[in-house]
Amino acid sequence: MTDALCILLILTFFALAHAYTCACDRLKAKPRHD
Amino acid sequence: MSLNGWLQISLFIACILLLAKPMGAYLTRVFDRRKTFLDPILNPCERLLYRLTGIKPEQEMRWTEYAVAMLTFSAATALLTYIVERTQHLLPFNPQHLPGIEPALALNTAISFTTNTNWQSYSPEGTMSYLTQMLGLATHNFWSAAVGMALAVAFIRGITRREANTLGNFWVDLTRATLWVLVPISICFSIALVSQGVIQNFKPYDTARLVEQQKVTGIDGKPTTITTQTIAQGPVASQEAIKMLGTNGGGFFNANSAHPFENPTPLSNFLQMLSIFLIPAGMAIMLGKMVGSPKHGWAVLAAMTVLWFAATLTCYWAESQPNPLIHNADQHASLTTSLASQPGGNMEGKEVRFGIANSALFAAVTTDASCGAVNSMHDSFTPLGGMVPMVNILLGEVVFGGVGAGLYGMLVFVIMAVFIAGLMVGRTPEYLGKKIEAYDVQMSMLYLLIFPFIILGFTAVSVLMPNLGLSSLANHGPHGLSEILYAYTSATGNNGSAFAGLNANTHWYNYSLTVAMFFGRFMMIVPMLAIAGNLARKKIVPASAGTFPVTTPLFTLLLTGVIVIVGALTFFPALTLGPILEHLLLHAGHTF
Repeated sequence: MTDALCILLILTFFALAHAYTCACDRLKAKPRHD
Repeated sequence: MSLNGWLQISLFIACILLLAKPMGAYLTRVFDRRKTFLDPILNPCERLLYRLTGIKPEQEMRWTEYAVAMLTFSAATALLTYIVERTQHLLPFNPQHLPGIEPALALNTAISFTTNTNWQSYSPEGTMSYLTQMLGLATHNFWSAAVGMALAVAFIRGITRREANTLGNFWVDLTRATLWVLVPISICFSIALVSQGVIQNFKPYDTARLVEQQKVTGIDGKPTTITTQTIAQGPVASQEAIKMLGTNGGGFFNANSAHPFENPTPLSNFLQMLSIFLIPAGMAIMLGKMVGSPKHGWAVLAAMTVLWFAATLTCYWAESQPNPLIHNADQHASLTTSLASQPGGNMEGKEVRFGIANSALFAAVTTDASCGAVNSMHDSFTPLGGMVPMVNILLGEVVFGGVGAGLYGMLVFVIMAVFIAGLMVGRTPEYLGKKIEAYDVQMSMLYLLIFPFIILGFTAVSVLMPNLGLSSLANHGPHGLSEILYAYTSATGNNGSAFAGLNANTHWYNYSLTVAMFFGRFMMIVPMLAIAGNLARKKIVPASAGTFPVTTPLFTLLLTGVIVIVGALTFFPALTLGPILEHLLLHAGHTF
């Protein structure tokens, strides 16, 4: 059970990093209002 | 401080500056896919690897694709290490029959080695089998270093390319960094280490009968007589070489590079320090060559060297002072007798075969680069001497820094420096013909802010929640704060050295340090790659009279100033409560 949670934690970390990559990319695509 | 000590320090930096140019030239050829003397052997290996893995080397990647490939690779290797650690009792090369590693520690170690941190909440010789050390840990020493180099090269391509959407191919950069750089140099370095007495075997641990029996009190309070000593063995030299060269730092033994089987002689010690700085110094020169401005590479290397020298000087000076409490213990002692009892200064926690100069130099080198190997115990340094390794990491691991990681971290500071220079003269800042715009500065700020947010956040939680953070702390007062601050600094900066005095093998520290290591690596890499991707898309603007030159001593001064000011503004308050307060209290007669 603990092993499953630890593996899930590793995968969650990297999924978060992937989402963060997409967010940084979207920030560039966002139109500027200034 | 002695003349002998300064001669050794001078010899060290002279060797680094002499080796930087050929190393930089070689790295440039490797990553530009130009001809090298190793091609006849390595080209077929490279082609075979691509064929087996289905990689198309000509396929270019956008920065997001590059990031995803890097994350996928890191996730897969982290999982591999976790599984090897958990199942080591079922696997071969475990002559001591060590059990599988507990999940929290296995997770911490897997992330630690994936992120090039090599933080070790355990004693390796009593925890890790030979297979785990080789397959789970030493492989990461190659992979994580190669990832760092690939990322630095991707950043440089971002600077050099014009109106391009891509930064190269991650798999190609990873393969070439491993095959052309890390493996050949590691083989040569391993052989050099074996010649000095570093061991390399698969034997079970030896048992030696003590000449003199030792009576000790066990943890249960009962007296015990010890008659034998276990002497750990293992494939050390092969791991030691890449441990230093890849700025990883995870020791085969608990005592790390203070252990005579890891670092037996002054020459092996010198070679180890040299190998820590070798690739980061070469990468600064590579930067200059790749961007077509060799002087820029030297200017960046000069900034690194100035900061390294300041750290070494401070640490060496601090450790050359006698401990005032020992001096004052004998009320009749003169300074001369105090110095006689503490030859050369503070020898606590230091190996006599290395002495104060080589301990201070090693501490500065290992924390300037994100290596984290130690040949002396930083916890036993004087408060100001111990502050130096901490400050080195707090500056962002950019003073030479980790293999690749140091250079891309430094380039983020370069962008901040030219941005500030642009603000001062009221022009849109430019860096090597690329205009630095809002998105680049936003990503740079994100990169710079994540670092203190993790360090100070976790330190504050640990201090404020006694059941979590203070229960496994050996020292109280400012020294205790330094131990906690150092742990999160080391983890977030992906350094991996420990201040000691803190048992980090608890659930709180294992999990929180895991988060710190992960975020300190990948959450900083992503904005850095975003900057690279954005720079690659831009046109190159011709230099004009208003362009800030990045090849002059003024640029080196500005860059050094920005690094120091950002670090000081962020961390000085925490340092005043830790090592600075401890220094003042030590001279007032208090110790912790």
